[in-house]
Amino acid sequence: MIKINLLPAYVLERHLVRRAAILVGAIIIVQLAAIGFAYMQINRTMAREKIGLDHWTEKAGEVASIQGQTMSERSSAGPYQAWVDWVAAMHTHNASWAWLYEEIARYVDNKVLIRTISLSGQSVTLTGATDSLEGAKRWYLNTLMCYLYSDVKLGVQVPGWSLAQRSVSPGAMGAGRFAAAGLGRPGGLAGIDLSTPPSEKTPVTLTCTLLPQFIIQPPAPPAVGAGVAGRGGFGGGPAAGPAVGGGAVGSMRFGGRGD
Amino acid sequence: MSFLGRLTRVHVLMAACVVFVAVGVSFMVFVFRPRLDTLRQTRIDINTQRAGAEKLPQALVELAKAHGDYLMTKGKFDVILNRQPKLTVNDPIQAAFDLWKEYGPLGTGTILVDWFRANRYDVQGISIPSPPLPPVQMPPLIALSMSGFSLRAADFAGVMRFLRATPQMPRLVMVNNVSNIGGSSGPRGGGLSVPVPITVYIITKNAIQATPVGAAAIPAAAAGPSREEL
Repeated sequence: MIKINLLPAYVLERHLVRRAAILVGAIIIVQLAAIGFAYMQINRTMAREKIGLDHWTEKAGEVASIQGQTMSERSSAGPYQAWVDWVAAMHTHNASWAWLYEEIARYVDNKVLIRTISLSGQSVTLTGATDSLEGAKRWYLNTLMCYLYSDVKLGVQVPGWSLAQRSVSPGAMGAGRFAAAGLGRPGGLAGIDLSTPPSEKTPVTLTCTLLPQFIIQPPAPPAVGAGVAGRGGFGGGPAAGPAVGGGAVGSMRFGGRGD
Repeated sequence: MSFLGRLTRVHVLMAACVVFVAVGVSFMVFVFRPRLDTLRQTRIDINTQRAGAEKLPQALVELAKAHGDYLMTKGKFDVILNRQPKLTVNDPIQAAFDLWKEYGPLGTGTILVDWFRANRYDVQGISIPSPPLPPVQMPPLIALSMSGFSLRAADFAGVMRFLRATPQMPRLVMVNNVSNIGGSSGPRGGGLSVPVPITVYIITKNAIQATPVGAAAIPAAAAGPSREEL
């Protein structure tokens, strides 16, 4: 049997167009469904992430709160620490006088008879006597080697000679400079003074300049709002910031002989 | 023939492509993109917050340490404060009478003298000023300057012992200056006479309230590399 298609071509085309339109419609519906599904997934993910965010935000807030407490504890300890540090610095300051004098004494030859050690700002003056000029020289050389000083001046009363003074910087202790200081050369001294009778001891004065880092400064008390009252506050003295009413009209002295 | 009648499959497929792309792009631009941006930002926020939250153990350790430091520092301060005379700080009238007692024969002067005597220090020049009249606003720190204070010691070591003994003294004593050590030591000498101007400090109970947070003592200047030997 022979089947002959006598229908015009547009009939077939219309049929195909209709099927294509149905297919396209189905695809669009699937697309919309996919979009809807994706939208729901995103919303679900967002909800889950939001819960996570809330959780971590709460935890982070807890950490921030703890850190705030830590800061608060530290700032609360600050004033206590300031006073404790000040008291410790005060004791260190007191002991530093002993340390400084002991360091000064460490460079004094044991054959030197020290009369006084005076400290005034940057200047240290040692007066003493030695058995001989040789002893004076040794003491002077020892002092020149002391790391505390930037400058040492020697004053020596040689029996029969007037006082001579020479200065040498330890930092410039080259042979040339040392020789130029005239140490041990009678010709470098000031001259003969016959009016002074020779004595057994040679008086020596050393005037030294402390390096700035060895100058002792007292620690200042913690900054206090109400000031510091002392004889300043109660009627004169070194402390600043009078904070107490009334006035001092005298003072009481206490005997302190220990033994 | 109508318009629809002239449509071919190609037209339909082209239109379908256009609709498909237009729908997809529209949803992407107007719906998904803002949501995805929000999601991305949320995740960044989560990471930030998580990074902060993960410091919790460290924060707890630091808090415990800070609290421990606070207790230790406060304990040290309390030890210092307990060695101070008990002075009323809230009542201006009582404060004045407390100061009278403290400045009187049973107060700081006598306490120091007794201590020096007990420790065999020969000192002179302990001078306490007259107390103020009431009412007294108690300051956080009272400084009693004794510029005429001096020490007599048998030898140089005795002077050094005194200078190192201040932590044991019953009051806070600062040695202002040791400007001169002179005299003669030894069995035939008359001893060393050392003027030691001092300041006696009394810390009162309101020291902490009067101290601003962050205040710090200014330490003494370093006195040489071997300061740790002190």
